[in-house]
Amino acid sequence: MPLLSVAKLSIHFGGLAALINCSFDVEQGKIFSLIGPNGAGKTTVFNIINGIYKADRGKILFDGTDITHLAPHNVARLGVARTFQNIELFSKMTVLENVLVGQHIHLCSGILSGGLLLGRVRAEEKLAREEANNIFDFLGLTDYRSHLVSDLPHGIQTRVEMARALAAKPKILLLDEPAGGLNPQETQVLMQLIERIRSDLKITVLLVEHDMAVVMGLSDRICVLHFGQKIAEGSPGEIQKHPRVTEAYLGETVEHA
Amino acid sequence: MSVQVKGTKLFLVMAAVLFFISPLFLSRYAIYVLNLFAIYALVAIGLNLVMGYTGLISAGHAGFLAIGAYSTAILTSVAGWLSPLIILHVAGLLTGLIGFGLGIPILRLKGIYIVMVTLAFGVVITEIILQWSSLTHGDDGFRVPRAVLGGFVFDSDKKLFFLIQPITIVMTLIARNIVQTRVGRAFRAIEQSEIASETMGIDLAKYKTKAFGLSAFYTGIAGGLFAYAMTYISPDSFNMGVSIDFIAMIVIGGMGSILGSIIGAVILTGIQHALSELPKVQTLIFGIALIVFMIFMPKGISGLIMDWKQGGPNRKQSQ
Repeated sequence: MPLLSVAKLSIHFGGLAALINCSFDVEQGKIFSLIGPNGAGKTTVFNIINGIYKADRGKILFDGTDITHLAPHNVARLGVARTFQNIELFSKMTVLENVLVGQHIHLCSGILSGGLLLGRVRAEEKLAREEANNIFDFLGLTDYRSHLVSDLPHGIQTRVEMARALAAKPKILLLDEPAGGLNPQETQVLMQLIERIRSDLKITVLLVEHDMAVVMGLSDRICVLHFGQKIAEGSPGEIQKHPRVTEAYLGETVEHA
Repeated sequence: MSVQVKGTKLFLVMAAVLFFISPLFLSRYAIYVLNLFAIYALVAIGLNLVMGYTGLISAGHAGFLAIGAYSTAILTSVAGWLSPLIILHVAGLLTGLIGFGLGIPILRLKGIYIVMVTLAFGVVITEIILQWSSLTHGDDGFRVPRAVLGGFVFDSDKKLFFLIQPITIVMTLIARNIVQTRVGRAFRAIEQSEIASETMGIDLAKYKTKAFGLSAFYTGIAGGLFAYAMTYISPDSFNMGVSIDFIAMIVIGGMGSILGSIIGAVILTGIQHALSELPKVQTLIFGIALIVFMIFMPKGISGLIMDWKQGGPNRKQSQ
């Protein structure tokens, strides 16, 4: 059974059909990419999975649960975490605080227990910081842990957003254009990180990315969207040779990748 | 370093001791003003929890202060044998519950609409108090009976000092703990990005209503202490201008800061009493200060202190 199964998803915004009958399955432990020209509906898929948008038709199964109509915070609780195309960090908080918010669903202190700083809250907070440190080690963010997010360069912020998502210990990580705005060197580091998230942390990755080198280099499977419709799915090799894909989107870039 | 920590601790202990013996040598009026500082600090902390931390503007907090004050006054007059600590809790919880309820319609609203709903709430509350005269004595105002704790009557500002100040200190510490743990982080996260908060598993509806409820609880307790300190309350003590003063307190002191709440409450209450002969000048000063701070110092005075602590003395070295 696939970890994430998207079946016949459709959504309209006003008169515009953003997704039409879109279906794909993401297997456990794989890196699965959604690609397509701007406006193809990739981020829309993310937003529907997250529960931010409600699909007009179709169904999403995640880990055996129908999440089609769940509210975003309940989807998160089931093990879905994501990053955003235009970074959505808590910019007035430090890197550490962002990652602690990422652990929200795994912590349990409330107004009263937190306000009185009960023993179990102290223990929980201490443990949360240790876990955050592990994530910082993993992503190479240790030096930045006390920095305000707004003071950090874009490349680091991208990683902080990944750290926050990983802090939720997700089963699947949705990455929305993580290589956007990165220089080639940073992109290399990012690719290694995504690979290690899959191999070391055993987290399935659903990736939206424009950088074809990243997509072709990382993906186990690729799904191509064009004007809200799926036009192809397959391995990187298959996608590169697929006539409709070449025609619709990839064009010459396939040669470089 | 440890010497420095020890020094700070010693300083704090001495400051606390000095503070609690100060009623022995301070004038009655000075003690009264210190009590008001504490009461408004609680209001400012309460307002800051919902406005500074969670980002939901409330222009009706005088309404919560009124609910706390009137429920304390009424409870004390019908059940004066109850400990003021119990009465204040009941008043705080009742106000908190109403705040929680007000949080529900606000969930669907954004920005200016939240301002309008909360503003209307404040107006409605004073109107209810005015009309419900069988309970509140309406326009005549309410003479608040003295609080009695185990035979001890809090019948002077000096005695009230020892009720008001400890409650304020404890509640300030609790607020500090809340904002530094899970719930407070969720509040701050919501203020900065709702979409990121909910995708990280934060239930926006739950935390926004919680923020309103908690904020109202703080303001309700402050209202109860206010009733005891003033000994006489009337609907006019809780008009719209009072709600705006509260906003000015946290903007000037520092949004999203407990320390800032206290600083703002002290500064504004101080100015109010220094210029009590000139109420028009007061309003003018508050208005101008509000504008100046919003434009030039959005982080308020506490923001300045933080910047100075973090970068100020070392700035030359780091550049």
